[in-house]
Amino acid sequence: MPDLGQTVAEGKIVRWLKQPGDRVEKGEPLFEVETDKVTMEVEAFRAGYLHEILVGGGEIAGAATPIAILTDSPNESHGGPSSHAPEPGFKKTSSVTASGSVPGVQRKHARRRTTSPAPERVVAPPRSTTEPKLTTDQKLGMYRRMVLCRMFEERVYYLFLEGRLPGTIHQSQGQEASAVGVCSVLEPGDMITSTHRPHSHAIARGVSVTSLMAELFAKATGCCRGKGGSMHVGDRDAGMLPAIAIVGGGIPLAAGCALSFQYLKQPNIVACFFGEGATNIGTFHEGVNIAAIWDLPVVFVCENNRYAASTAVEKVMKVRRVSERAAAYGIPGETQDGNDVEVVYRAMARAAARARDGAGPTLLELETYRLAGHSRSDPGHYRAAEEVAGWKVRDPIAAYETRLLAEGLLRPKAVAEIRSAIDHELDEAVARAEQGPEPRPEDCLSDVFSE
Amino acid sequence: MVEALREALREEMRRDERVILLGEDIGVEGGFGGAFTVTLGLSEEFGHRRVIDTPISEAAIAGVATGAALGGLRPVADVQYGDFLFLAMDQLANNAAKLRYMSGGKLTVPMVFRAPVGATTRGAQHGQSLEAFFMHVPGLKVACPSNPYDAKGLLKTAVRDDNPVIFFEHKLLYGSKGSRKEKGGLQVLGVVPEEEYLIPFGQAKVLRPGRDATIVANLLMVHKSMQAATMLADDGIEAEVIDVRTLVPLDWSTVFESVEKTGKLIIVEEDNLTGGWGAEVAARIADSCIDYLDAPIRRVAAPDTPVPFAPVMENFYVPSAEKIVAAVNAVVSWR
Repeated sequence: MPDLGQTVAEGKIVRWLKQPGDRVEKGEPLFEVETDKVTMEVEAFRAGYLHEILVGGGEIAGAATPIAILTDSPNESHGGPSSHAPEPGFKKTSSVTASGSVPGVQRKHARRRTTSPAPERVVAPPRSTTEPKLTTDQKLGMYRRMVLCRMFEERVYYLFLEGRLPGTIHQSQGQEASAVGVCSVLEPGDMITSTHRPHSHAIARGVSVTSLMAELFAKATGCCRGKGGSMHVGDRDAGMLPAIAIVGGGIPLAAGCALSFQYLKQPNIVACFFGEGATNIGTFHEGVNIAAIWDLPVVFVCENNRYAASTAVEKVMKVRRVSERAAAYGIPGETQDGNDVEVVYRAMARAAARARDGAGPTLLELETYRLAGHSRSDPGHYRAAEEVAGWKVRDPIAAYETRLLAEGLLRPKAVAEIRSAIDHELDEAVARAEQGPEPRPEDCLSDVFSE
Repeated sequence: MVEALREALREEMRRDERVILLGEDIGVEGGFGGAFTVTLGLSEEFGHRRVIDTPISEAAIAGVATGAALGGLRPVADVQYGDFLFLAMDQLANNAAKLRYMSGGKLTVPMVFRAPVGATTRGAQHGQSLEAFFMHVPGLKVACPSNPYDAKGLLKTAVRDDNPVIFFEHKLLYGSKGSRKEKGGLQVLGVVPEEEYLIPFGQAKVLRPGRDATIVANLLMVHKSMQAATMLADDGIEAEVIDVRTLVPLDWSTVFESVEKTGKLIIVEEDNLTGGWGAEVAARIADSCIDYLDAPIRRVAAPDTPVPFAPVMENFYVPSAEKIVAAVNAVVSWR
């Protein structure tokens, strides 16, 4: 039974959608489960044959207990449930079922608000002739980094479902292009601030995957020594402050860090990530205004993924674009396709150059979409299926892969090689995280004050 | 005390280029040097690069100070009235206080946040005493000087501390002279050496020794307590008066030693009674010194109401020397 959420200990199998002996494809709905929070279909995350059902329809099973056995071949023998537990990992889908947990009016609203997945650009400044040209190595580097972000999140997703990681997670599948495009412009010594959804930002900035994974495993070897967790990952030496999980809380912090760069005459800048939901909080207004009046070297990167948790942006913002808000502070604002890593890179390169030249901040709105739920227990019923499908077509990694293949910069064989190498890297990271020491309970007491 | 605070800032800014000031109206030409003139003249000496006037954005002031501290500066920020700290609460309590911890001890946040407190006929939103809120947040240090000498020494220590320090100043202790003097302000005289000195945090000061009862106080209440002790002495009761000087860290051993000697404890604070810092002191004494106590612990504090405006009500609200005397008498004559 997959781990269905932080506060969900068990689930009732409503019915099996496959019978023993059936072939099961990866991603195919396997069974329906009902909890006190939600009813949903669960997909198989690996292909195989359903050998035996251990927990039948109508029965209840605890999280992370075996409920069925999948085998690689139709007649593979096995030593019984105790010695041959199935791989306890499944993929939740966002299929809408009769859970009643979603108010009808909200879904109706979501449908009515279904947006065109192709954002129109506004306020895009003319391209400068000195615009940086991306080399093949840079392009392949960005591609590989995005794949690493995605595969890291996918790996983490299954680790959570298997109950191997404590806490909760806010995942960033679908938002890799904004993280990687922005961070690829940054230099050593530059800093980023991040949010409760920080994994891709951290990976894009170059925080070690090993230390990130160890932090998620709550190990002493983690980037925050087990004191931060998913929502606070960071590593100043890599150029990332611990992620701030209060919405908008990192915005004044970014301005302050930029003030130190300006004051100490360092050539560095800050990239401050936040979502569109944060642009309604007071710290956004205060932080952006103060950065504007002092011409601080910071780029405010708004990843507009259209939903603040489950609340659609149209419900909570009267202006059409977040970037229009820049006018209130007298700074440039532009909206760009946040799912096109090269578009993001070029926009960020312009904003970063401005900041480094002492011309002050830019509000860069990157339109994107999170393909996962808000947090781990979110099936996403507030988003219309056609909207999700539309954005899935615009998956930033698949789109970039197609382009690089067409341009001949990426060989088909290399795609598999890259994925296999990353898979290996993640295997290593998981193994090292698992082998790493736990913090001692009393380590809880240290690091409150600097002595 | 204004001059002592200004001198501390001036000395630290001369000593360390990384020290900057952030706040509203602190460096404007022709302005008033912050709400209570503490920063008057500093922008002339150090320029607007280091004495930085901000918009009315308390959350940003606190967040910018925190971010600048992470980036290697040593900011001293202020709010015009302590009451405005609530606007900055998220940045102080969630960011400044916790970033070191969340980073596993890799970061330091060397910043000072100055805040005037105390009831001064300005009513409910410009007169609160807020020490307990910040004492409750792990990761913040809390200082609360009662006189110019301590103010200078503690502020200089605060600037050099690698942790965020909330530095409370009582409006009636700023001085009884000058353009922004407070009606009812005390003329707290004291020699403030021009040369360098530091007062370590976590060292309470016994201002008056006594055998019959221990009075623990901070800020303005130190002076009310000393006044009460003089009145009590006329009746032959010798009260020991302790100025805590810093609440985080708090010098428990000095308080414990005194209570072990006198067997009686009175805590005096201007904050509302419920959940004030005095409650914590009472609990610790009950934990550690119960065998030495000859009478119940008494707290003299403001009632659980907002700060009233009318002077007649405010006088009732703020603990007076007479109330302290009554509390001491009740404890001394117990049984």
